[in-house]
Amino acid sequence: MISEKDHIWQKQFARNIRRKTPDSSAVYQKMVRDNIQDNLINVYPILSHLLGVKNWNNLVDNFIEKHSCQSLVFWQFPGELYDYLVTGELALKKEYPFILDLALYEWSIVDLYFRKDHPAISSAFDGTLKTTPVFSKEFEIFHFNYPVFDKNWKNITNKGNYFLMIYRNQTSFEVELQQLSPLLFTILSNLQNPDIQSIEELLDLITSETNFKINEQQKVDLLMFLKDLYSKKLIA
Amino acid sequence: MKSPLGYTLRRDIADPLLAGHFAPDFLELAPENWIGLGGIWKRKLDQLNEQFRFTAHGLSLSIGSPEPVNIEGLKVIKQFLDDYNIDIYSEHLAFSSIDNAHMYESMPIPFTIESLNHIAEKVRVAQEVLERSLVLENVCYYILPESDMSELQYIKELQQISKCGLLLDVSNVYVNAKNHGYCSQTFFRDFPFEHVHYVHVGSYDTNQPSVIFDSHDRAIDKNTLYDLLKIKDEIPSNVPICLERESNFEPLDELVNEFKGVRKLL
Ligand SMILES: [Fe+2]
Repeated sequence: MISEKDHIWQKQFARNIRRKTPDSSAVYQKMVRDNIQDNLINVYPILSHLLGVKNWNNLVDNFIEKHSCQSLVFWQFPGELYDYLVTGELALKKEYPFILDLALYEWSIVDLYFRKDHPAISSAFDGTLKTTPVFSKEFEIFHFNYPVFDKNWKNITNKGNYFLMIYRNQTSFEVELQQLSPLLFTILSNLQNPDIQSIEELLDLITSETNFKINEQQKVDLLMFLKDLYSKKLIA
Repeated sequence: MKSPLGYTLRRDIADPLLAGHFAPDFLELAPENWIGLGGIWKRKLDQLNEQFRFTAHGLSLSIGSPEPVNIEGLKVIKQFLDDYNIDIYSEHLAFSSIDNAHMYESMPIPFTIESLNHIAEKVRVAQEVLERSLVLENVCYYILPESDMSELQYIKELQQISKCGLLLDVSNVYVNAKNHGYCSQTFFRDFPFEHVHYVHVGSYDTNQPSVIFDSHDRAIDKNTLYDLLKIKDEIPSNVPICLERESNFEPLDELVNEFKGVRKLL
């Protein structure tokens, strides 16, 4: 058994590092921070830039102090900054209302680039609206309130409804983005519901629940879109 | 037979390795940098594993923390070792997580009798899960907690009790000796070389005013190479020696030349 004295020392040492207590742990405070900071900046280049040095450094300090990182795997722990932001940093979220959307967007790009292969391996989709496709996990859809994907960062405060799909290209393995219409987003998000038996059934459901009439041309476009996803191996 | 000479595998040098521009005898990777990857990096890792033998140098085990071994985490690592045919798995004689939080850095442990027994028990559990020896490395420590014995004494006793393998990091001996004011040759004189399973040589930063930092970002210092030469006949034959490098991989020619130089020296 470890002694009470050693246990307390180790706990206090780690706590002092995380709280930046001015003491002999200073060397380790810098090492821990530099390492975490480097990894976070690589994943959140836009967020760290837009927050500015002072806010960003404060955020990293708070993250180290208040959030207990759970990821054993190094490339995954930066995703925990988003988790931390979801529940904490109220003042920062007020000052930068787009911060959650931006953090989720930047993390998702990295996550989708690195994450485990998870191809869609069913053969449910037959190219018609009579079936429901199975989705690959190398593909995600998002509803953002800020245009965090806009290359022009000046637009980032334009509040609205922005629908996006982010996926890993199955040939180049690069991450690619595509903006979605509200209708496509609604269809895609509901298609992942296992209770839906066919695309046709879902379209009827949308029509009856929203009074939104889906015309023939929209059905043709939808089918084309799904066939494109199929050719990209994002659905099967 | 000469010791195999390996190099750290980071994503930065995967392409030149795959292209055959650089051909170490083996590659050392941190499982925590590669576990759970898909896409292009899974494919590159698989290709590299067809060309090279891998060894693993872990980061998250935290053998020195007061908590018991994270069995679930270790099982994930074991699966990775199995998947890539990795026999040698080393870790730091340090702690990197406590209070349910990973800190992603090796922090110093008190060299006390109680911590020794505690770690020895954790080694036993870890080796059972891993179905391999756990090889523990002498790390750089920048402050020394209140202790009952020296680092060397601690390592010797821990090896005796736990039967762990030892990773001798030659440059860490130099860094600790300089930082804590003792003679590295005394450390080497009494080191239990017969239990060494693996050797590291790395670089350090001597540009800071009061402390030398283990940095792994530049060419290996001549002091380290000198120490390596002095001890190489003490190390059991065939023990792999790895040149540690974590950043600044450009220009590649310099790395390759340094590697060839060390090869010649040995
Ligand atoms: Fe090392």
